[in-house]
Amino acid sequence: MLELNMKEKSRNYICRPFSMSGSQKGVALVMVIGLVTLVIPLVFMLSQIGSSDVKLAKKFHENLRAESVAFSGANAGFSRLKGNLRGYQDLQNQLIGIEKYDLNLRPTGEGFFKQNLYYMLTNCKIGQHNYTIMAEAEQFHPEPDPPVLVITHDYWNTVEPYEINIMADVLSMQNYRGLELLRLDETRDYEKSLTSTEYEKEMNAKKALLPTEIEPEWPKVLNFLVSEKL
Amino acid sequence: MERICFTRRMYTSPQCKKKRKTYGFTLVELIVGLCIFSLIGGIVGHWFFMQRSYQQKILEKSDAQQRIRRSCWKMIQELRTARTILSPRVNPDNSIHSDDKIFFKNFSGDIVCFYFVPKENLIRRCLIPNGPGSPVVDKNPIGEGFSQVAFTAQDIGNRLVGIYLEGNGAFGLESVYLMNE
Repeated sequence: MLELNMKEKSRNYICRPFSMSGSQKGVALVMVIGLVTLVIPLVFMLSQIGSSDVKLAKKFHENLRAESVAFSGANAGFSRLKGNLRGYQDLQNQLIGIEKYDLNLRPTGEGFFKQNLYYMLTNCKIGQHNYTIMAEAEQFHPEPDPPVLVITHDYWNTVEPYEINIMADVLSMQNYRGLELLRLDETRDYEKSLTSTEYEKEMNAKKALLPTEIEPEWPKVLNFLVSEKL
Repeated sequence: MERICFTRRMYTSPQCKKKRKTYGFTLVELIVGLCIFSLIGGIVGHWFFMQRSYQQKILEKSDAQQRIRRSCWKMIQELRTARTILSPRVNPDNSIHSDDKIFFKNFSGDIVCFYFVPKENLIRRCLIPNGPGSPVVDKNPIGEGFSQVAFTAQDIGNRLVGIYLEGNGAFGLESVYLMNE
């Protein structure tokens, strides 16, 4: 009897795994389903831990890369002007490492000292991130030997998805920047129109309207404002 | 040892009734199996919930880091094209000092202040017109969830500004150079 049992055991459990009885199949099925239900959430959870961090880091990295490449592009434009390259220069898909940028040097006329005036536009797009820099550049004579004197000023930037090679976009950017430059004229005119005492009095009147967190600092700031008044 | 007949068919089958054995598991086997299964389940379950709380902590830290980065980004965008820093400035003896607020003239010549509100743990922006008009505080804060904020101006002419933000166990240190005169 014992021998017979052993034989049965070996036949049922060891030798013939694919010829299980109904109950054994059921148990095996339950175990498989149990394992799968444990493993799937685990794998899902692990993948989430990885992806959420990676996504955030990647997004910010793209942001920074777009900005850095656009700045490098602006420097490239600056170097071109120093190298005495003149006239309209529309350079698309330029490379810094593996990243592309566009550079647009747009002549806008001649200055008081017969220097060439330019709008310098640089744009970089990586993924969903855009970065555009706009500045004014003055390329001075005398010629012919580079490097010639170049002065850049009034840097302005935007993260809006403008294309610097499309005239309508460039005009739109110029308008936005123009509005801010008009406001700059207003603030400068305001400073010039008042004496130091009047300016101090006018600006000091704003103290009472400031948030409580910054109000104590205002006299110190006001000193700098008055001392640097135009 | 007696064997338990699992299925109805086994109970009712003449073989089972006769011999009361053959197919299925013994009670001991079942108990051992259940014990092992519950032990593994317990360990895995515990690990699963531990991981969930760990994941939650990571997400909170990531969110804090992201808030810091986004806030820095917003401030840097305006500071980069600013005309001049009004406060904090390098001391007369060339030493530097930090403050939890910064005043500067922006691209348009108006005065802007980024300041920390400790009670609410957030950074706000206030625009003070350099001309007629009242100061305006932006409705939405620059960022929130900060425990410490510090602005430091360095370099000749205070043109290099360091921004330090801390909150929820994360911190960020960024610097920005003023491009405009």
